[in-house]
Amino acid sequence: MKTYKLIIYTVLLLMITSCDKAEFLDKKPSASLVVPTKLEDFRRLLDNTNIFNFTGGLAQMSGDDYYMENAQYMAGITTQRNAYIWAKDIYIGEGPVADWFQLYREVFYANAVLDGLGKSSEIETAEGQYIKGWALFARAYAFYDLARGFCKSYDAATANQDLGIPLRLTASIDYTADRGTLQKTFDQILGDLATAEPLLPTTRQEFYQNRPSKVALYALLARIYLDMRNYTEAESYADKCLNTYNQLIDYNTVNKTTLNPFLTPNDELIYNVSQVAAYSSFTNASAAATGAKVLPQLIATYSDNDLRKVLYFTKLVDNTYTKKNGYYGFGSTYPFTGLATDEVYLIKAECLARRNQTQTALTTLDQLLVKRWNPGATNPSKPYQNAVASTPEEALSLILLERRKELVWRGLRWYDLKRLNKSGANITLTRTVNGNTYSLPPNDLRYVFPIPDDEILLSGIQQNLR
Amino acid sequence: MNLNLHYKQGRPRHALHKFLLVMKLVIILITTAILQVSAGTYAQTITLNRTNVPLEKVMKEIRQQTGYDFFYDLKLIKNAKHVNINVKNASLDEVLDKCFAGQSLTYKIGDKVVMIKEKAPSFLDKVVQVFQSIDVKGRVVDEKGNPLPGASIKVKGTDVTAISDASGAFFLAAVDEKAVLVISFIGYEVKEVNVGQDLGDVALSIAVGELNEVEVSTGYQTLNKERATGAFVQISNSLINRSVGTNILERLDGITSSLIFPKSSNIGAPRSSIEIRGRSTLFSSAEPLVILDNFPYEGEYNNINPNDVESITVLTDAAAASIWGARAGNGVIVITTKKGKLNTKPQVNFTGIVNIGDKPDLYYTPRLTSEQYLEVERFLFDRGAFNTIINNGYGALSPAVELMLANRNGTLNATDYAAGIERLKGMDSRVQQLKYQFRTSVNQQYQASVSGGGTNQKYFLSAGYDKNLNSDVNSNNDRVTLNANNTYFLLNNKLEINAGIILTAAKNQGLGVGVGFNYPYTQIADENGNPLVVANVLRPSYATTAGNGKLLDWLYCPLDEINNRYSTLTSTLMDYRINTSLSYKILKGLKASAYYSYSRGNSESRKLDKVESYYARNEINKLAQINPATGAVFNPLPVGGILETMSSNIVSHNGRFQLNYSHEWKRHEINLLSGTEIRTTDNPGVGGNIFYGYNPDNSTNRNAAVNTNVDYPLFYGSSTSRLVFQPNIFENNNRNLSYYFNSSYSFDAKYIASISVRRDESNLFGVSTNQKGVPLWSAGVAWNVDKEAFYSFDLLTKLKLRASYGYTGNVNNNISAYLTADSQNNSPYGLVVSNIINPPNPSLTWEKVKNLNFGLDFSIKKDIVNGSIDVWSKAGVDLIGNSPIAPQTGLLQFTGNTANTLTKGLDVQLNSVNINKKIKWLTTFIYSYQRSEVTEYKVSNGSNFNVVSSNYNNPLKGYPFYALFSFKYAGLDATGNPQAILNGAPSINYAGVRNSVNRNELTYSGSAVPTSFGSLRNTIIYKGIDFSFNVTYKLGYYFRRNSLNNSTLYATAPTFTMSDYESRWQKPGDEAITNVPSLIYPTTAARTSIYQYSDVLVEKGDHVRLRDIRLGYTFNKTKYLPVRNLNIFCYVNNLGILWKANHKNIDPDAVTGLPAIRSVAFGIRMDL
Repeated sequence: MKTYKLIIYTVLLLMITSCDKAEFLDKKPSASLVVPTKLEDFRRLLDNTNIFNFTGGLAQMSGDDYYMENAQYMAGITTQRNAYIWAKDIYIGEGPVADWFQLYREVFYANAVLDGLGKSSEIETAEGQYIKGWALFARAYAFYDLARGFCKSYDAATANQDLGIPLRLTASIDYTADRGTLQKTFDQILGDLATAEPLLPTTRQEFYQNRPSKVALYALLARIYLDMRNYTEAESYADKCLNTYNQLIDYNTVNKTTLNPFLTPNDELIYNVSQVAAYSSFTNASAAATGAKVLPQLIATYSDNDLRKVLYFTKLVDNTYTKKNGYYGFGSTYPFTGLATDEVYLIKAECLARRNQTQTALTTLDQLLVKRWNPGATNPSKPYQNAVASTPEEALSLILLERRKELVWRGLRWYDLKRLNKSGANITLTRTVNGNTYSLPPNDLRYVFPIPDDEILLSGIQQNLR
Repeated sequence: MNLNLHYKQGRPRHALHKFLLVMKLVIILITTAILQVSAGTYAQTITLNRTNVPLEKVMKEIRQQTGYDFFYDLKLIKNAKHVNINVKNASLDEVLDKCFAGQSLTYKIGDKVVMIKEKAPSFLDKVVQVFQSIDVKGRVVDEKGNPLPGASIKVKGTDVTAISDASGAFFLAAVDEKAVLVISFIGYEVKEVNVGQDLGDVALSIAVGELNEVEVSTGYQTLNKERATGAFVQISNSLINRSVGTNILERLDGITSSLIFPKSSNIGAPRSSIEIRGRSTLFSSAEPLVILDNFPYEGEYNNINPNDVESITVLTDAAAASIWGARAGNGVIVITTKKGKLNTKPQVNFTGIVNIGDKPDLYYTPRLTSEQYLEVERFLFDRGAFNTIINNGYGALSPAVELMLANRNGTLNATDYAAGIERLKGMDSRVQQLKYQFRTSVNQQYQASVSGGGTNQKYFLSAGYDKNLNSDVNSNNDRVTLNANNTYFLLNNKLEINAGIILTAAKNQGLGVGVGFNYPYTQIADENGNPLVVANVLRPSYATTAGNGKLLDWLYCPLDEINNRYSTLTSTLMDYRINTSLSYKILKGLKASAYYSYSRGNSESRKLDKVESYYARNEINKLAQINPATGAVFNPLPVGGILETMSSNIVSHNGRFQLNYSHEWKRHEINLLSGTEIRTTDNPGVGGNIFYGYNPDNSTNRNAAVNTNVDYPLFYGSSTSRLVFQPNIFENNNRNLSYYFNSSYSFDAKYIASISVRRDESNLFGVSTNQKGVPLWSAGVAWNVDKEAFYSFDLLTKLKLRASYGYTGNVNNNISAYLTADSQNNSPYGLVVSNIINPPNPSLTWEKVKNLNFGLDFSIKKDIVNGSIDVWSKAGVDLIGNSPIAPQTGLLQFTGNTANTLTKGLDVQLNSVNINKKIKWLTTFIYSYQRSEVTEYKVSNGSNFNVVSSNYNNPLKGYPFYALFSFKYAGLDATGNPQAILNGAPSINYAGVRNSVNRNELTYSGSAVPTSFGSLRNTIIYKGIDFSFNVTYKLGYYFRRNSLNNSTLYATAPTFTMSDYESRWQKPGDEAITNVPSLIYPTTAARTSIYQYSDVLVEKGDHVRLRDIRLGYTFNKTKYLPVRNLNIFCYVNNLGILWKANHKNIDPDAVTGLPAIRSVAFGIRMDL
């Protein structure tokens, strides 16, 4: 009898005490699940290159690097077709709009890291500080991409009236941010970057080029200030960047036959970013005749000794050109839109030219161009000739042309058009599709992309006038 | 068994060991009474000296000294006076006389039995005084003369009961001469016979209704249905075996009220495999909880062999299901497997079934004819639609486009071109599909079992083998099941020990890569059956020349793939469950039980693409690099087969400790049950294991030679590709702790009340421990009206009313109150990275389902008609729902407790015996009605396009979850464009129509799932022949049919399976006669969607189907056959539609896909 009593008591006891209840129920439902609380968790969020390191694609589609043949144009989706012809309404309900949603997703992730880090005791460690700087940098990068696409060109005179973008600063989803002013937007971006500066490592990321450094931060600030037409600051940050890191690739060493001439990481790459995957048939580098073709007028500007012509483009049998893959490696055919030293050289040269430092400007340009030159490409061979300009204006237009040629397909041309027209460049774009001609006059309202329909519907923020 | 019958027993004492002694004795008594085993030799004289002791105690002493059993009603003995007695070697009569002197009780001595009765002259006592008693013996058999062991033989109007033994024999001592015996056995009709000394064989006939005297199992306890307050649907063994499917749950289809199997439709909304009383959740699992014997079953339903199943109970309302708490919101299906029977000789059963299915009806789906499709291709070709692919030089073109291109390039003259096109026109891919891809399916099922038992042990053993050759020529399954179950009754039946194991091993094989027939005229074989090359990804002309012979053959011959099984997908499943239980009767009425179950399932899949397969060859060639200078070939992906493996395990521990207590006094009866349960389910696995260069002959691979850090350019085009063989390891863990309490009280067997409380705690993620639990409760009452004294309604022989109310729940472990992330290693930098899978949601709570049920069970004129009617409502509260959210949050939708639903319904089951003579005609009618509505959805919905295309994502308030909305179609305009109503007028502003949020511009057709469904089953039995057929119906719903779809027809990978091509708008004026828009190129998705989601394409889904026919013959035990019983049958399934509301020849159960395959099964069941 005792045996059975023992069994019953044992079973009872086992049921009650076999495990600590809290510990038992704290087992994670999935081994891979985590509430991010540790620095490693935050780093894993920021390292997620399926989320981060993207910029929008509307700018490339609306820009004048390329043209579409009718059949390929017709095969595009609504957003692609309308962006190409600068239609008043681009999406016509099509969504989600990657340019908006994916960028705000980056903001959400960065905010999740910043929120979590704020509650972490490890925030003051060196690694904690770096992650904070990284998240701020990533958020600023995303905010800036949103601002340049969905807002007017920055103009110090009107920035306090112009509409900005919703500035979401926490990962909570139970509130709606309104647009605020463009000034507030830029204050936030520049403020975040100022906070991030001391937290980021000085040296460029050699391998993990999805991670920022001071070099990347300076390159980004140079780009932003250039866009704001604050050429003094732009030059100052370009210098800061190049003083730390100024490597250029000698294009003579690059494989000319492959469709992926540039490796990742490579020596010029400072911070790796690509265009969103959406809209790829209008934006992708592609050797096939399936997608975008390089504008012939643009091709015509490259000399035969210019290695960029063979390294950037593929000539098809019908003598049209398509784009090869750029600095963004890793198998992606999505265009590279990140930061690289060549752009910083060009920013510096432009700023110098704008303050009439013609010769220094041209020297800076030569530093870049000599690396793009193959004297032996022609017979007889043709050594590189230093750039010459008799006036600062001439130097500037030379630099701007080289900027266009060097930074082709980087998603920058559209914003250059926006900026340069604002300074009176007076460039009108025209396109012909199926016999209809479309044109976009300088400073047209359509240089500002419309906010996606679902955003307007769900948050009620103000739409842009187009 | 006879719960009102009590034996002599000790008064409760405080010391446990004394209780146990008493219990032991009680068990002995019960056993001896049941088995009619003599208690042995005892002294016939009594010596006793007791002062002021309870009568019960004295009876115990007498029992010990004489071996006489005492029968009495507990109610009577309770108030008996204490006894003073002092006798030495006295006779039984003498002692009893002394004990009962002055008591209000009297006694009667029978054969080894003492019956105690009220002395007061009741009607019964008067009868007793009149009659002499006799001993009765007899034998209970079925209609075929087989013994029915375990049948209950009750003396009508008393509590005296006997149970038949292994040979069906029974014996009752000292029964009134004119008494009537009520003989019952589960599944058989109750029979009343007048007593006689030897009744001989009493034959019971199989019950026609399933509602009589049924015991239902909740997984925690077995209840007599008469004493239950909840709604249960009981499926008997014979009904389970009426159909022949290898999947146990599918056999419930069409025979179970309140339960429906969702069928293919094009509403896109999530459906569960089975719905019980509608859907009471939006996005959490809507699968019912399946209980196999005592515990939830987590494995594949397919692993349960239907031939091992004894019965199934479906728990539908709160009173029935809430014992399962937080997982019971979708209903509970309790499967009870077969067990042995005590005191039964070994019984051997054998079942063999062969089921033969037609080839799939490929001609069911409307599609463009080859001629029409060629017309489309010509149209597209002329507009340059293929130029991109033509220009890239490698992309696959259809055979027709190849001809058009050759003709355009001047390499094919007009005559040859026309001849080529003419040839294609005459081809139909379906002819070859039926010849080479499909076959007649053959499924074979065999099962043998042996069961039986001794006096304190019973067992069941079975082995089953299934072999399915599916309609796809290379697809087949094998399944082996073993089941062993053993129960011991020890310590004089106080201790019951059960141990069992169920084991399933299954293997499924199929083609690893499907064979596509991309065009209506695709041919994979020539006239002589030789394989033909089919353009797949690459143009054959490119595939032949690429690499100048240095690459592997790059051509695709589907027939080679089929015939040689170059690519195979094999999955093996192994699943076993060990059940053990221990229960001990501590006291009278008090039982403690401990259960433990361990189950483990393992499934592995291997996709092997041999080096000969197109898949492997293509993967290898795609990355190959040829050095232009040396001509050397480098294969980043080593030449060889490609093997991908995946394995997943499920390991589950279940433990339960439970106390049951039952007590009766006077007219009261109380049953209590309380317990605690602990469950852990772990689901670890590894996927994405890839082995390149795999050689199946020696199991070697060449992964060591693979570089996973390089982007290799593709041989064609500009893309690059990276090789990956990184296994992806996953592990899911569920932890559950539950506490439950269940009680029922009945008064006079007329009024029954029950209450159930349960608390579930689980490892919901990111929620602190004290919030992980949810308490759920239910209460029910029932009234057996027919038992009332005033009830004298002869027509309605049975009438019971039930009502229940309470909560069940749904579990959703996928979301969390905190921001959560999961990790994966898919970074191009080789880093482990995280995704946010859940935004912060501080207000997250559990989903609950509020149930209300009113039921009525009745029987008319001795079960000529019997049945039940249940009216119910289920309200889903705090359901997890999606809400669209402003994209500035970084999310496109938000998931939280945003929704409530309300489903109301009616379940009716009627069984009738229309003719009950030599020929029997039985009918069962099942009707279920349900109407659901989303009553709360916290965030506003998106555009009208969202509503028509995916209302289920953001269901509109006031409509069903499965609501069918459409654009209001306004016909075609003069140029063949579809128009829909926008701002009150026909419009071709498609963006405007789609983005409108004015719901008045939509047509609401109704529910997209049946609101009424059920079946009508007729059975005719004549001698050994049984014939039955089941007609099922689904009513009150709508579906959207597929029509000409401009976008998918003109897509890069075109779809040609659509109707209405001929009736499209082609010339001005057509708009007056057709609604089908013109085809335009290029197409716009918005324009297509206006017609696709228009109300003119909505059809009524109502239909009636002849589900199955069964014809069987049973050979009674005959001298010609060496078997006891032999049943042969033929079962035809899916006979087709008898009536349907739509006139488009669409089977509403196959709006997409193909209709269920008709099959004919032949089977044999025999008992040796």
